[in-house]
Amino acid sequence: MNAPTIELVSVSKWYGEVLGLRDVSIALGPGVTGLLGPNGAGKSTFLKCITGELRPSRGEVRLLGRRVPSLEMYRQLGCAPEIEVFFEELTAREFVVALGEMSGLSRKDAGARAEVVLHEVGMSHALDRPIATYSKGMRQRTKLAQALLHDPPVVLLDEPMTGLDPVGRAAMLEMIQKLGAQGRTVLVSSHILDEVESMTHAIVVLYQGQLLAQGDLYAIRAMIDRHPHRLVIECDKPRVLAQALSRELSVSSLRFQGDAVLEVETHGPDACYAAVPALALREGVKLRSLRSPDDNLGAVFKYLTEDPRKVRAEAQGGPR
Amino acid sequence: MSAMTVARVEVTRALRRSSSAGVWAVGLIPSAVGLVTALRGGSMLGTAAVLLVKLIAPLSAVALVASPVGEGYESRTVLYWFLRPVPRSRVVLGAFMGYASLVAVGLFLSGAVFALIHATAGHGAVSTLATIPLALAFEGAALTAMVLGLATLFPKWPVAASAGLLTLTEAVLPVMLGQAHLLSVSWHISHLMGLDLGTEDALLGTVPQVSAPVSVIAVLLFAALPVAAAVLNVEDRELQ
Repeated sequence: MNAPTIELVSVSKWYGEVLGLRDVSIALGPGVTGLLGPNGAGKSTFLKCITGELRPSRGEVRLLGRRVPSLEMYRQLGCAPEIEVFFEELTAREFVVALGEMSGLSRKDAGARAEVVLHEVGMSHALDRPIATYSKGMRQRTKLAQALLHDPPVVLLDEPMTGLDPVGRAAMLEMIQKLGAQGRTVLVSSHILDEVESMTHAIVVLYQGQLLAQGDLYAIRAMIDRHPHRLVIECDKPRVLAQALSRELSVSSLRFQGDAVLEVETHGPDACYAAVPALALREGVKLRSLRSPDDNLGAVFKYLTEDPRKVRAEAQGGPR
Repeated sequence: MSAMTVARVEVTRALRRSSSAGVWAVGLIPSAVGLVTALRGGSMLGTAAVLLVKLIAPLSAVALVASPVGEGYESRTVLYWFLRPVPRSRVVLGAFMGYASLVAVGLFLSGAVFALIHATAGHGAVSTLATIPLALAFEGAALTAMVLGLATLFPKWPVAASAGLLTLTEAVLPVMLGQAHLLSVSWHISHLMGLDLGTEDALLGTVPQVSAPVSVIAVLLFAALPVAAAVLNVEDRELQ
């Protein structure tokens, strides 16, 4: 097995009394890895420990075998931090060229390289416009360009999809997958499961500063699917709908919240989603809303945290 | 090389802020005051010079340097520099070079206009055409260093911290007892410019004079200490 590109050994980080990371040990290699966790899980702390912005309170971080931080490692690292502000008065070209010079390129080479990467991220049309006039999506792309400018083998992207429109998301996704296919180690943080799922199957899950799972996304999904899903249905006749549901489908439990809300627990959420509108129509029930509170990462992590050790062991079992 | 890149970027950014032109324009107020004084037959080296050396110069440094430097740390844009294979000390030095040149050029121009009016009015020797602008540029660079140091150390309150320090060193200390005026950059600059502010400003007692080289060394020291403190601080700083 190749030596890991990014390695954290028993890393803990405290902010005074508050725990940022707790005893995280992990080794990552080439390809795209999704760093997943709800807000406040420790994703940013994790990334900052790798970039050297933060020093671990305990443990050690290594990048390509070098202890973090070191000046040499910054030649190998491209990073798009999660900050919205740039040098607003500069144009994207000026910004990227300056950072290229800081990475050791001559001004001429930095200029040529800036043109290439800005073109690659789809910023050719706005190279010489002040960054202050850019949309959020253009800022994300400019951030990616400065991270790729010096052709680094390791790329860290902190919430790169934030603020992108659907077209921008698709382009960013393609770009990230391309980077991974080129053999780079790409670590992408996100709190949106579907977002990560669309770019990679290799994930690292953090929750409350702990490494909850590392492995294949499908394995994690399978574990989640073993738990019953909740559906909350708002309608005018919840009891009528409940009767119909219990007759037609396999439901684990039915609960009423007041006179207009029915909460269903089922192991077959997809069948339930498909059946509810048809049943409501047949029984003359007016549906107001149908939602699943489980369709968010917080709920997913709640399931996973029920037995973190078991989850970790199963997730490392590989693809389904 | 890397420090020059940072300097170039900081100067470019500052020149594109409309507030920079405003600060430079304010630098011409003492010349206007001096012109009125000269037309009335008075000496420009009184109120107008004091205004330039003790008020406009510190104000320029605070206005042009404090906020951008503090904001760089608060909004974390310094990360773009710090995540490159360059020692952080060079980033700080580059920022100093950029801002110092900006403030110094502004004050040099203000000083040049001031000296020209002064010489044209027949009160100043030809040499003042060089000494006044150069001394002001020197003061600008030194005050920039102080403001940059303070803004780096206290990025949450860069303006308050630097304005507070400069009020102490440039306004309060020069009128205190004893040798406290020697801690004032503007006092040394006045001294280098040939302005005798000491006896006017001291509330009690006499003000001992120092030689020009001593004043130059003192100002250099005032500039070096805050920059050194800033360098040491950022080398060791976590960026949360």
